[in-house]
Amino acid sequence: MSFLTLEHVSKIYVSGSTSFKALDDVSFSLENGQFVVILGPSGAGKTTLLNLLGGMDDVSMGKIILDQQEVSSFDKKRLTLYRRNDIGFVFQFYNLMPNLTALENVELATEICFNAKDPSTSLKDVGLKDRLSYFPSQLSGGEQQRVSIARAIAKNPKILLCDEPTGALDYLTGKNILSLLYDISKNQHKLVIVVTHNQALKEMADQVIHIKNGQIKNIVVNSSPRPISEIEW
Amino acid sequence: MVMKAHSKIIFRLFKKHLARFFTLIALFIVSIGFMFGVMEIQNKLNIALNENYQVQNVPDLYIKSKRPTGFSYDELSYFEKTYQNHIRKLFSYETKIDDDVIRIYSLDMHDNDIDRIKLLSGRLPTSNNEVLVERKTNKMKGYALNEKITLNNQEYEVVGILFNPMINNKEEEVSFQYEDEYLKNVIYMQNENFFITNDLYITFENRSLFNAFSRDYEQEIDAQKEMLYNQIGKDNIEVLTLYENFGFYSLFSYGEKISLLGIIFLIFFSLVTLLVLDSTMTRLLDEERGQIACLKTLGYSSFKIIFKYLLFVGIASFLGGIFSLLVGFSLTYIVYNAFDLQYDLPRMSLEINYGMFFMIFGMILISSLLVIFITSLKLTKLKPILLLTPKAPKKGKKVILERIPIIWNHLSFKYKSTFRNVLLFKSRFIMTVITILGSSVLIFAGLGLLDCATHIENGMSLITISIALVIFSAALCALVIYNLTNINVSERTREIATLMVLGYKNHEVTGYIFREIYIMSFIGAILGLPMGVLFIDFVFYLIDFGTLQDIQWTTYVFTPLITMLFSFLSTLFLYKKIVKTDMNASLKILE
Repeated sequence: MSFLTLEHVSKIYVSGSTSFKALDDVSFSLENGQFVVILGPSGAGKTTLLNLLGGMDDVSMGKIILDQQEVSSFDKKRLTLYRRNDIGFVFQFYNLMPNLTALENVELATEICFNAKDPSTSLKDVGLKDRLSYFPSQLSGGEQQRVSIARAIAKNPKILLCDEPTGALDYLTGKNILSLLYDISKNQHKLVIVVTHNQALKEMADQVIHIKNGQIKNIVVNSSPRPISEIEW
Repeated sequence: MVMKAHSKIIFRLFKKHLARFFTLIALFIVSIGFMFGVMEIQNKLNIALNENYQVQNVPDLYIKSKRPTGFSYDELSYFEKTYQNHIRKLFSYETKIDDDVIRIYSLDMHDNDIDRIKLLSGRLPTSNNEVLVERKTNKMKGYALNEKITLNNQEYEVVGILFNPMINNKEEEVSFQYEDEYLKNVIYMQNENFFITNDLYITFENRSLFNAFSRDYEQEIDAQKEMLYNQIGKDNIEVLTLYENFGFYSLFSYGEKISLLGIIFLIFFSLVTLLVLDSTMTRLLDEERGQIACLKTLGYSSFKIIFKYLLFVGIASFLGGIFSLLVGFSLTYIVYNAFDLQYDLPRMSLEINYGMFFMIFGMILISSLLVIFITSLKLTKLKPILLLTPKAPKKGKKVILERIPIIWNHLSFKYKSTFRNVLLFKSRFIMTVITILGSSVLIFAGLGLLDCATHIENGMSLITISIALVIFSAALCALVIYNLTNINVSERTREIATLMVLGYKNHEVTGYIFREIYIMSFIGAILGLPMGVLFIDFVFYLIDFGTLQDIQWTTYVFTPLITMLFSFLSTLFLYKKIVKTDMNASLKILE
């Protein structure tokens, strides 16, 4: 059995008498240590998919199975624990606590999960060993995103979910962040899923999932991914 | 009718921020109501004073003879010539029964025009061995109806209890005869043949001159006093005026003191109102940045943009003002009835002093509009592009507590973040602590009065005051805490969503926000105790009732508990709002 499996997953949003199918019969499986890119135009359902994977929302139909647990059957309380212990999130706008230092922002995540890594080691791993006591406002955008990645990996999660992680960053900084994420998937043997609309990123992924109008268009397995440093866009 | 687009914007502003609109109305009701209610008390007491003066025909001058044999024939005929029938004759002396100083007034109760006897119970004497007595007060021992008193080997029966506005009810009435001693009882006896007259009550013909110790009255009384001393001489008589009669003057002076207290309330409530208003509207305006930018780029003038916010506050204060009239009037009524216990006042006049009300209302309205005008003008002066990007969150920085490693290093992580936030947002901190401190002072005063009220026989009206005071202050406390927490929550949806995504449980997420409020409430509640002691001591002095010793230990415990309970209750209302925060919406967009 695969590390992560989605079986006929659908998500329907109902509002009054109208309903909207954001995801329609999505199935795929992914393995640990993979770097996966989910590609699609805005409104395609990428974020919905990420929300379901991250336990921020529940599925309407179908099953999500991560490491032999059926996530799609979890109630709200179990989903909270699932987000706490199994999921690492990286967002476009970093979402750091402004009144906590870099180190404290990482501690905020680690102090509640049972399997956490040392927060300062995680910050060193992302190249911020000199920035431990800085507040977010004293860090550049790229540095803030590194803190948020350190926060995600320090939890020692089963998967790392990244929603447009370079969306707010300049070209070079974005590339650095992507290569950091790629290295994490390989060196720490984590499943890293990046959601983006940037077509160029498909060349660096082990697997690319194209979605459009809530459905999977195709899944491409990339046997020889190119390093991000070689990719231009 | 088709509304113009801009009118629709105004209409939707009210609809969108309805909860805030009602919070502002409540704020205005409580603050204007309290200020008006307290300031009205003096006015009502003065009306009562005038009425007592008229109805009981209180004498303006009290002339005492310095001779043991009383006034001479010449003196008496001079008084009668000068004041004609505006004179009441008395014979008074003091004696001791069991070491208690007793004053005896002997007077003709049937010639009852000046300083009219006001019976509280019983009847007028019908025989010479029946007497009336002054009622029991804090300072006066009093007698029971039908009690027998033995004076000069003769027995008298108490047939009636009266209230004499000329006898001091607040402080102890000083003995004329025994140095450094105070009256314990006053007895009134029937007298028809004045062999000796040593006291005279004199009333002025013009009764409207008095008008709650007006300046004209003061001048007239000084003139009369000087004339009498010139005619008869200071060696023979002593002239006492209503200014020296503490029994009567005290009601006036307490009215003045309450007004002074009212000014303290005025400052406190105005300050809290403006602080709460400003923080509420600042947050509201932050949420409107996008719309302000849009209107600006369309070429709307700053004033047209600002106008709807002024309208928002103006209408809220107008509606709040209407209800505050009712609230303030009830407060005046409650306090007035407490004075009634001590002074036996006439029914409270139902006339509303609109001058005072509109002064307070106008002051609050103008200062509120000014605050909003300045805050919103600052926003409209920004370039649209700056308005379109969200306001940067306040930068994190180290707080003073972090320099004290002994404390800081022992704080758990949660508390570090809490303390940093509490100390970082200084104006919010000061506003919350001041309000909660003020409320807890008032709660303490209310409970303290309740302790004392339960000690006395007819404390029921006082009990109402105390409960009203507790409810009033708790309402203010809850209102401010709810409002502040609400602002805090909407300012920090992003942080709340982040915590949720990180897997924080509902109670952990809400704890992150509420802990700050609880810490501020705690500081305010604790500081409120010593301030409360000072305040109630002053109140005791004002109403001459109760002492600090009467306050039970439970009051010291319950005051902070009630304060904390109300901050807990008001945060409870926001629990749902926090746990319903949409993680996706708040994390993925830039507001």
